[in-house]
Amino acid sequence: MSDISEVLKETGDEALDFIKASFKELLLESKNDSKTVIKETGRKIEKWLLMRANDGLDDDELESLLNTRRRVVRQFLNTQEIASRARLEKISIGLIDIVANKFIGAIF
Amino acid sequence: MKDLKIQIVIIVSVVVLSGCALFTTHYDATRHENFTKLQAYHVKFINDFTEGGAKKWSLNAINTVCDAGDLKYREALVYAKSKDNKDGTGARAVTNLKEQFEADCHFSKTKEKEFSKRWSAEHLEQINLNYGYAVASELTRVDKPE
Repeated sequence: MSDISEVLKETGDEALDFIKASFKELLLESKNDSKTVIKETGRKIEKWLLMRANDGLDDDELESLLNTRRRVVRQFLNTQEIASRARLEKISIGLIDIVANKFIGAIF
Repeated sequence: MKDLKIQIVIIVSVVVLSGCALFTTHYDATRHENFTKLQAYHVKFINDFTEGGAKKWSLNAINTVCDAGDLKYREALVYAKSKDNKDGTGARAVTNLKEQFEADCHFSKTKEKEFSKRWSAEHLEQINLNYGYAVASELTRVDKPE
């Protein structure tokens, strides 16, 4: 198989086809997203599914890679939180320092 | 002029009150170093036990590497916790990496053989990304040396 649509083609099993259709929609959404982490997650999952379909990976290996990616995304979210908190602290402390050390006495 | 003073006092107060609860753990050189050391150890573990790698799979060999690794990650986690503010972001970063290492040890013991080359190549890319984010987050912290 060289294309993800072959992996995701309808089977006639209603429940399985519904899962495949939902997955296809999410995958497309992720690949079109502007955020690199989301886009890369979609790209990797597609690649690993194709590798699995072509016997390049077994089920355990695929599951392991998916869980590894889950941790990468969680680490990324922690990184975002740290960057956002650090920015808040730098700007607010910077503001306070300027008012406390430069404004008072000089302006008033 | 009086109005301006009042406005500045209000702005500064709001910033202080809203900001304090959200402030983050500051940069720590040892935590930064721990990330890079753990990354080197983790990557070597995967490389060594990949088909054609430096080591042959045996439960004894895996237990030796995993037990030694377990201590390293525990030490890094205790250290990160001791340096964290209430935000807990340092410990969270280490916990994520520790869980990944444990999962890889468990995976190796389940497979009872060396990792396949294809899995290792994909896995190592993700592992390095994870440690890369941990290091990058350390470098965005307040008080990072220039």
